[in-house]
Amino acid sequence: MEWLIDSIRNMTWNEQVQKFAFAAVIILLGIVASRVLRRRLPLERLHPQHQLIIRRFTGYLVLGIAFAWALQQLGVSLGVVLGAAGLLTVAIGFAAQTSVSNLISGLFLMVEQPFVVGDVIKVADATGEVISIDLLSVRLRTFDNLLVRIPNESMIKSNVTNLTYFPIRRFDMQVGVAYKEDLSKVGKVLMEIADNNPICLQEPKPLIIFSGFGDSAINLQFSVWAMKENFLELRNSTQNAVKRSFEQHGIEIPFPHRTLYAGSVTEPLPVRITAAERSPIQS
Amino acid sequence: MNDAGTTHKGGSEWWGSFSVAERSVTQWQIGPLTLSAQRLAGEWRIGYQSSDNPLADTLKYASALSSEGLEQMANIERFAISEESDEIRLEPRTADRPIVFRPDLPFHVLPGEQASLYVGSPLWVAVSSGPSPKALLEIPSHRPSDTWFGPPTAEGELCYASRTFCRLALGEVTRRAHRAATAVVIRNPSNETLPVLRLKLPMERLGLFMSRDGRLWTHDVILERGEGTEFAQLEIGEGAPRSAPDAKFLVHPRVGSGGNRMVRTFGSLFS
Repeated sequence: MEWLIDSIRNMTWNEQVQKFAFAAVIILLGIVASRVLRRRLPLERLHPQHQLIIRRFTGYLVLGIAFAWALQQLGVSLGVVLGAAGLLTVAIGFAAQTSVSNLISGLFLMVEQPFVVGDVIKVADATGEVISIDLLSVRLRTFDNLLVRIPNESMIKSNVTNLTYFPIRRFDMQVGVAYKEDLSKVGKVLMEIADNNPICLQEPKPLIIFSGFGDSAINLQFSVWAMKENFLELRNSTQNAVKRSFEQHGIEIPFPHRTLYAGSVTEPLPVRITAAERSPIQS
Repeated sequence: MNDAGTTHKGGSEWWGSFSVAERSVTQWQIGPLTLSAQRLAGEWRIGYQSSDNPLADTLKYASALSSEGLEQMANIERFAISEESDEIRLEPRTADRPIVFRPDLPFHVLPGEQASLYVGSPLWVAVSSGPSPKALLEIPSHRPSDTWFGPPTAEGELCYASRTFCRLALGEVTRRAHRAATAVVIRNPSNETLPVLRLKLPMERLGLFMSRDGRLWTHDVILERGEGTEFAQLEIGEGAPRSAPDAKFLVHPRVGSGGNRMVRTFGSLFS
């Protein structure tokens, strides 16, 4: 700071006032220009992610130039400022390791682009739309309209699932049918459901996978595809259609059954049938 | 439905301009689509619904109905309009994205051969109002299923899906007012048999024609298989279809034809 104090000491009072005022005006203009540029840059054709990066970069660049110019007006050599900034960065780096780690992770995220602004991602327990990728954190808007801020370092270390990266998505519906049912008939009914739903893609073809013999039902996986924007509608409409169609075709979706077995050597359990008790309303 | 108005203009022409008296309801049945329009002060109310049968061949027009017919529709939309015109206009349109046709039975084009076949596709109904027509909405006469056309699930194109019998004789193609026929020529100059498992046609690039017998046609499509690839040279015919040379031009394509180009059109994908 001595160089700044020395250069100020060498000025007369009037000069000092004039230069400080001029530097302040430059910084103010820089702030205004930075904000105007960030808002007015004609980037509508670009992806929101790229818009965000270019707007931020332009804003910081304009502010940096204004600040450097203001310092120059105060008679400060830019070389000295840059040298001091380098030293300051190292000092801050040691003091704020977490922030620096987040910062570097943020740069990696911007370069790697596993997701962009507007994508829907799932990180640990949070699922939501990416509303910004900042230098220190990623902000998500969850579907119940909450803001989740995830530090960039956590994003780099965790498994991130991008739900909207590819244009089409598969919905896997687990369905159980009674052991007495004819599986070829069940398959035909399920395929009809997929065929009659216009948002269900004909290709890739719907799949029926035999999952196994369950405790109470034969478990099947019915997998259908839709455009990512129709996924929720497909999920609801398919499950409704399966229930409705199974009822129409007399296909049973069984609830868990329990068979009470007392062992082969024991006597059968005695069952006694008694008259129904009178309910209080009847009496 | 009141059949007092019966089929408009006779034959299978359901498009054109119609006058709708204020507060009364006019209703059209175009194949599986039922469309109702009501003119109220400062607004149009349009109701529509489709039946489950995509091949339904009903064609009816009725005017001066009560508003009950409109209220029972599955979908009703309102459009504010300041013009005092009672004129509503219907226009046929081709699908708004490509259609992938799957032959009902495996269809092959032998080496050095060419096949001329006919496929049918559902039409969209564009509704507009006023002397300088303002678009109100577009409705498919039957909404085909979505399908994905592309080798991996990461890349490709969203299309509509349709089944086709790949009719080779025009006489076998049933004429339906809500569907247009497309004549497709597939050339296979290569030394290998071309199995046509799927056929993607750019319906949004095809215009519409009407032949003398009232059948709706699109531009012809000529596809020539590229050597050793699934890509084909796509050519969209100029002028009336060859099978109906006297057909009258009706509607421009939604988008420019884009000239001849190599496209992925025969798929042996996902199989």
